[in-house]
Amino acid sequence: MDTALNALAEPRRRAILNIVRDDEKAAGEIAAYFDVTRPAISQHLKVLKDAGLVEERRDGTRRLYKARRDGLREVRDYLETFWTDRLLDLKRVAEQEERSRPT
Amino acid sequence: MTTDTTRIEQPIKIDARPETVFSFLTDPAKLVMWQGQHVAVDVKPGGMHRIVVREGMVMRGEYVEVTPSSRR
Repeated sequence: MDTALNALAEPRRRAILNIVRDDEKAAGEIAAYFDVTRPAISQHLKVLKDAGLVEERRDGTRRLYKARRDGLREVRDYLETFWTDRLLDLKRVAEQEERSRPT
Repeated sequence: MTTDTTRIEQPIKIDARPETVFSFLTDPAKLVMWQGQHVAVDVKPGGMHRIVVREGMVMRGEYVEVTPSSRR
């Protein structure tokens, strides 16, 4: 999960994910959205792929990328659980203080 | 380019006065009791929120609205 969270911590990688969320796109098409070098975009795509957030498909010499729904859902589930646990902690400590306050 | 509109909403019922709960959202000494290990916050609209959840995991954010002791 840390790999996925680290992958998402970079704004450009989040932008790439948005671009390939619904449509499969070639690396060159993705790079055209950005004002950075093509190798930089390739590196971002590799990080996203290694984190399980995008899948890569080869079509001849082209490499096509698409967001992996399962990967995104895992991150979402993790964050949901994270906040559920935090909020339960908040409830516990706040109610504890409330009970112990002088009346 | 599309904007990421993903949001997480979680309601929870806390049996305490709003002032009590608010203090746990704003007082750094109380924030660490439920959010993480170390926290640096500037509680005002536009203020930054930085919390070390655990080693190697830092959460950062910005306060959009700060209304004391209110439900919304």
